[in-house]
Amino acid sequence: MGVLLLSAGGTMLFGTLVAAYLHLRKVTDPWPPEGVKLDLYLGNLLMITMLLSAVTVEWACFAVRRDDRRQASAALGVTIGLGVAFLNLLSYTADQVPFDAASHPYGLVVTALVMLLGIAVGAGVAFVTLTLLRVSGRQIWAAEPSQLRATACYWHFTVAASIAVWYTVAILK
Amino acid sequence: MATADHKRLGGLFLVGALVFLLVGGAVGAVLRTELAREGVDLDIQYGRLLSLHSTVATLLFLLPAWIGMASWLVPLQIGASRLAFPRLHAFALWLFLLGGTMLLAAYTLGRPAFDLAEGLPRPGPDQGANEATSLAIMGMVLVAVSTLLAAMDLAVTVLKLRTKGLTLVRLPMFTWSVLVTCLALLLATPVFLAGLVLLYLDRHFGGDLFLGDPAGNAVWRHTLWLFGRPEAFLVLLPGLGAACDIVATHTRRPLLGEGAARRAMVVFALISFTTWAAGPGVADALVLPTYSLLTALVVLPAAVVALVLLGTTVKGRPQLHVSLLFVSGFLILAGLGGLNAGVAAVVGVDGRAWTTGNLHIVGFGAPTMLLFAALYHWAPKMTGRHSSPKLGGAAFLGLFGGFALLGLGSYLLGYDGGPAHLQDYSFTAGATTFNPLALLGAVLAVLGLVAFALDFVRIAVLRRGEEADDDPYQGLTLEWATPSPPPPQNFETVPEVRSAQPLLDLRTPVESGSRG
Repeated sequence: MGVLLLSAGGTMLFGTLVAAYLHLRKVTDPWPPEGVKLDLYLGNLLMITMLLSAVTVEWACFAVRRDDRRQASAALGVTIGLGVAFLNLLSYTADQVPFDAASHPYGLVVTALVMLLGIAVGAGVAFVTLTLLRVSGRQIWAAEPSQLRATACYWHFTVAASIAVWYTVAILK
Repeated sequence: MATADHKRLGGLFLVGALVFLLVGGAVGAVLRTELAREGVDLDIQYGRLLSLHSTVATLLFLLPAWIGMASWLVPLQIGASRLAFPRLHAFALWLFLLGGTMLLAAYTLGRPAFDLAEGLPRPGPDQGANEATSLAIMGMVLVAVSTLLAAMDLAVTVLKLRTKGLTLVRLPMFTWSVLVTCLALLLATPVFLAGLVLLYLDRHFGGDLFLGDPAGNAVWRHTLWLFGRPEAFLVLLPGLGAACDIVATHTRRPLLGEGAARRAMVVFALISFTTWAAGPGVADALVLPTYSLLTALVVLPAAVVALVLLGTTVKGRPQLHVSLLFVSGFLILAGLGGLNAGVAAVVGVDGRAWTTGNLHIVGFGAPTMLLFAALYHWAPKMTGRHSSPKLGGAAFLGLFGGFALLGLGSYLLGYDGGPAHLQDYSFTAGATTFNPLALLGAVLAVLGLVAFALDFVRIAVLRRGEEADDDPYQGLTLEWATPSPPPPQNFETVPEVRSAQPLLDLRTPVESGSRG
């Protein structure tokens, strides 16, 4: 319940930034500014990484329902790996772009979106790590899966936020 | 420091908010002293102090105080022994105290390049980032995150930890209003947070989007209002819930029209989200055609609750208590505000000193009266002692009289054509009469606060005053079934809940089937 409510708040947070992006895009010409070319390949790779992690976190839920602790731990471990890979690639992408927050409105709002997405996914990685420890310590099992469900719910929120950011910045431009 | 007991956390939230109120109130009194006579005494400090005063009033007092009250009371009202996430709540408390302190510290460095009353960021002396602005933004971010976490925890506590039989429609009115407020805050606060992040990045990296660019202005205004407009109304909502519980308790009968009051609170929260534009008097405003209508509409659900309060009082036999004085003070201030809004609509004074009066009467004074009503009502439960009727009466007279005079002075100055937020008025006959009147109000309000502080230090710290029974008012809701003050686990056994007034059911078991 708490994670659901926080995710609703997170949706408002990213929704506001996307709305700001769309507003600035409407009133600023040219948009994106000249000289800014985003590498769609990197954006797509980021997206695929997050989509894969949505599958692995569900795999963990499935394994816990069957009381298969080893599989659940493996699935959560892979999720953490994908999360860290996403953060690494996000940081690399942010380093590659030829602008910063002060360059122009586009730079500001994209920096804000990327920064907050990084924080959200980073918190998700921490959350999944904690859950992995509890699964390993037999504190989460088939009869008591609520923390894993909460973790999965939060992780799906970060995946949805990633999709929203990717669609806004890379597809809509 | 490491406590996770909801009563201690709630108490610390309350103490923090009241300390910030004292700071904001003292600064307000200084500003009023400046305005009371011709000439400029404060020079450039006036703008800084005004900004500090409005920021404290907006962010650091009412909302955190209600969060504190709710943290203390909600688990008791729902028969729970704790909050859903006590450690997270403790984290929220320390974020609030740290954020509030950072915000105050920012004003010692200079005037931040924006404030919540003015709305738009101003160019700083160096057209870029400066320490005061960065510190103020960081402080606001911490306070916003604290609000978000505490609201989430309170909502989950109400939704998940209710005792058996306590359905949502049987929730005590205060808890109901807290649930509605928290759900609304969970949607409104992140918008503000997003705006602050954009503002911080822009200032920190030396950008200029928020330094006069119309596109940046629009973004900031939207994010500020989507949080600020609902928040301005939401600070009243827990007070309305508390007033319902107070009136029902002191009239010793269920509320008349309880269902209507519950629905009205939900409608109130929903409409508060729709008032997020500005009136035509605001510079650079985004004026939506629905703004005036929806702002007027938000009065209707509040009026429904006021009618429920009055109807219950008339039908019952209320026993005089300081908390009821504060509730009646709220009704009078709200009525005064409504009356002036009607007059202002006819003569058209919006955007002048009138607005200052309206802010102090409706936006701040009325909800503050309800907060003090709640503090006095639940004081015996919180401290195990009865507050002093004399000091309580003095606090009421000071605060009610203070807000009334403060508001009235500004209203009258507004009708006289006085502008708002100017350091030095061109002194007309109106200014020389009405500004000292407002100063008198500010002084009275500060004296009222002092009387309140003395009373609560006496019963809560010095442990003096008449000891309170567990159920001193023959209350209706579960918190009165605990010892005064409640032990760490709250309840030995939670009474069975079969209606919205479980303790009344215990006293009159035969009639219990007739109550919903």
